[in-house]
Amino acid sequence: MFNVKKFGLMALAVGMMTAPAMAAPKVGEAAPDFTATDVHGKEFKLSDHQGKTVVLEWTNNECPFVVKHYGSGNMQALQKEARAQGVEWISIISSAPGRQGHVTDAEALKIAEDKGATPTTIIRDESGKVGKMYDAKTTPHMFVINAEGTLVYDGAIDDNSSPRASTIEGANNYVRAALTSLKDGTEIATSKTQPYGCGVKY
Amino acid sequence: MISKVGVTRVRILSQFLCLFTLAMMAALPSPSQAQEMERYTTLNLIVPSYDIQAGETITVGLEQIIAPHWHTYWQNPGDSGAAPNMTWTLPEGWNAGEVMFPAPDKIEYGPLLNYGYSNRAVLLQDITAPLGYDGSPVDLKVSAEVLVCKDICIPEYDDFVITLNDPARAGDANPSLIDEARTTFPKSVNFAATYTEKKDTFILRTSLPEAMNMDLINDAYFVPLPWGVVDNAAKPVISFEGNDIVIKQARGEQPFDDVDEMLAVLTLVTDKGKAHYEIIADLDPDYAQMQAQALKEKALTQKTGTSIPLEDNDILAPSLILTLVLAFGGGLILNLMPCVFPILSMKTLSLVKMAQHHPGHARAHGLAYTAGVIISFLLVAGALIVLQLGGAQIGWGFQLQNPLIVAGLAYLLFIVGLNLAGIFEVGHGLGNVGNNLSSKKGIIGAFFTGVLATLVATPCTAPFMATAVGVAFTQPAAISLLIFAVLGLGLAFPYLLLSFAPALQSFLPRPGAWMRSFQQFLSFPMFLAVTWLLWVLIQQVGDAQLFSVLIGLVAITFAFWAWPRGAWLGKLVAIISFGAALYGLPVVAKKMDEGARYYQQTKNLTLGEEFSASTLDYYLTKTDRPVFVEMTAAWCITCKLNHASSIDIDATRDVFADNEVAFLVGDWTNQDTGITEYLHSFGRNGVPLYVFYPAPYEDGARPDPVILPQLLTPSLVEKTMTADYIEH
Repeated sequence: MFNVKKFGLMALAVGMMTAPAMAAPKVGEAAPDFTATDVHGKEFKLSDHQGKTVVLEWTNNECPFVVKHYGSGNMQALQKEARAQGVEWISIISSAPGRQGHVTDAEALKIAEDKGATPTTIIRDESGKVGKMYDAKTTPHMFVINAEGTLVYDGAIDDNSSPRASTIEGANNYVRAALTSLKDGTEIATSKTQPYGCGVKY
Repeated sequence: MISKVGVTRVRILSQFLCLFTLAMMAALPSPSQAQEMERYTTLNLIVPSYDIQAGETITVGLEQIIAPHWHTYWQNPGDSGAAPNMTWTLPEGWNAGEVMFPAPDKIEYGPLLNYGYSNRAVLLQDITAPLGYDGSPVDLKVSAEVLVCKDICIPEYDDFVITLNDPARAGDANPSLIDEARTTFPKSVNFAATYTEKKDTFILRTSLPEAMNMDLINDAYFVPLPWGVVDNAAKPVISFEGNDIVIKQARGEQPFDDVDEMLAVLTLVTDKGKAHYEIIADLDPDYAQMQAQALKEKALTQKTGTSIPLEDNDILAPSLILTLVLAFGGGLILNLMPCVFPILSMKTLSLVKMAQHHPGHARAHGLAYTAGVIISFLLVAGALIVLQLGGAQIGWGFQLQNPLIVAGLAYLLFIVGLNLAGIFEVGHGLGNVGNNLSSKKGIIGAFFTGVLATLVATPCTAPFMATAVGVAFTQPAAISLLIFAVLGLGLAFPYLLLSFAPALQSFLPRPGAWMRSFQQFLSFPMFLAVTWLLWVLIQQVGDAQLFSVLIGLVAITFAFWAWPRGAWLGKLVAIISFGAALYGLPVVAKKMDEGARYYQQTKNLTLGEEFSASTLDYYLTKTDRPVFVEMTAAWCITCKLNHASSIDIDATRDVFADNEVAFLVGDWTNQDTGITEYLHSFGRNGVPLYVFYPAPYEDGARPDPVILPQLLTPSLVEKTMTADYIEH
């Protein structure tokens, strides 16, 4: 007689052999789950937010490209629109201690308040754990995760990589387009783009 | 008369030119400008000549002098950053061409990698005067924007105004700076180059001209213009094959579908320095190893989504009765298989001998044998069901995907062969092939003969039972097991029938002295089966492991020869030899992975290309070519037979060539998830499987794929591939 448990283990082993190696998240696949402490000291677990669209925004308040989108009010406007649709907006700061954009919890909150930013919450990721999990390369680097927890957009905020704020007008904002498609139930036209901006200060 | 350098310096403010900065600051009209940011680039607009006529083109340069340790960016900035911008304000009819970039360097930036410049770089841009231009002085304005980064990034902007045909600058020309800049540009060449991807690796193959001396090249690297084709920070691996340079680098995240043109700068490093070439690579025609799981899944849903193909041996949902009949018939046929036949023959002959004296014993033997067969079938099927429930991507024939089992079967069949040949006689157990006519041990022996028959029959069920077995695994577990039980009953049936119907026994030849010769004769099919199993093993493990199995066979022979000779010494030697033979098996198992890799590397398709779901998807969606898929395995005799008789022949090769058929071969010798999934999508659980995808209709849609029978003939293959597939 064969041992069912043993065969189950064997099957598991076979399954593991064929599992892909841990790699950067892919659009169309499950967004990697993570747990982090936010600037309010509360635990944030991505998978607790299934059922809602989640935007991850990598930011660094001193980066000129972040300044481009916050100085012009572009990012705040997008946040407001998104929040009004019930989207959760998570700003993530992956700057390592001593590097540009590294701030304390209180500083992060103050910067957001001064700028009139309204993310759901802000996460300081000074170890770079979440940033590397998502292969976040630039600030800004935007990810959109749908209500099922699938990554549906990964890339730049828009299609004009100039640091000039004047180029925002007329640019195609990929994140807005993705959120609109999710709301309307249409296919997201552009789901993967090359992010532009300052390198994340890991 | 060249009096002045033709360079407009609008502002020079930089960290490392402190004094100059202070001087400039002092000259500024308003103290509020003290807020001015520090600069890390000095931007100059280089104008080769201020004289231009209607329809003429001049090339201007944007010189970037970059502070030490800071860098600016290429067109594709790499992991972060942004390309520079030149925004021109030109009078009506004037035109500014694309910005042209010198060859970039790779610049490491923490875990990221950028493509750009250090120290100094000059970008070039063509400006063309309209045909109707009257030659009067004209102002051209440009706003230059350059991102410069060290550990932080700073965008820097400068506005320039150049006045062409300004009488004050008449004859003012300085083309040398532009000419010098051109030397830093990649040379546009038409080297043949292809790109492809395989297992998450981007592969660029560039054929250098024959005239080039490859020995002088110390190193090479490339930077691609499209973003995300490679993992920028990954180390490239360079190899030289004749006059080809092959560069492999981990793949990036942009699908090839989205890449318009694979323009790249190839840099060759020699003792004399670096030479840069701008090449345009074409997608490798054999391309297809798209690893993207999404595409693979898409391909599968496409396949299962299409309506069921037409061939009569396709079996997605035949009735249960029909399936059981097929299973029974299949079991019957197994009796004729070369691996089963010798055992059954001897068993049957012994039955005749027995039946003459003890009809009751004969019936008991028949039942025990049947039970042995059916229980063995149920065990193998049960194991497979449990494994599949556990998510393992395996199918029927999986037993032979494990080299340990193949080696074990080789040992077993070899022992049976030795026994038949009369090298040794065994009174009990395994050797119960014709002896132990009346003992109780004989009943147990009959049971194990059934087990043995099943064991040696399994390789044959893989190729011949695919239909029944395939259905079996699409059914609930209880029905699957029923099908296997009936299959086993089929295998046991002739013997069972003989043991219960003595009248039939009269048709069998009388026992006699000839039986001894016949028995010896039957050892040869056994040895053939052993040879075949060893051949299968070669494809699964390395030659060193094969050697240990061969030594094992000699040790076994020696063990059986030594056992009856001498008292304890002979037996001791026999036990040691047998132990040594068994020791070879774990060695084989341990080497399994390596062997599979070895096989992957060395197997050489003489015809066709390696199957993968993405390859198939590529041909089906990106080309109009018909596609022929062959699913085979080294241990599948039917597959080999079909291949030799109907596929790898001139006539079929011609049909492939004439119709531009893409021929994909999936080798299931070792476990392969992609192939198992593909087999499942056609309701199959084993090889062979032959599927033909006809060329698309006018409107681009493909006719349904055609499944060919499991036994091919050349004419059948040709007919399938040349038939008209009428739109319906």
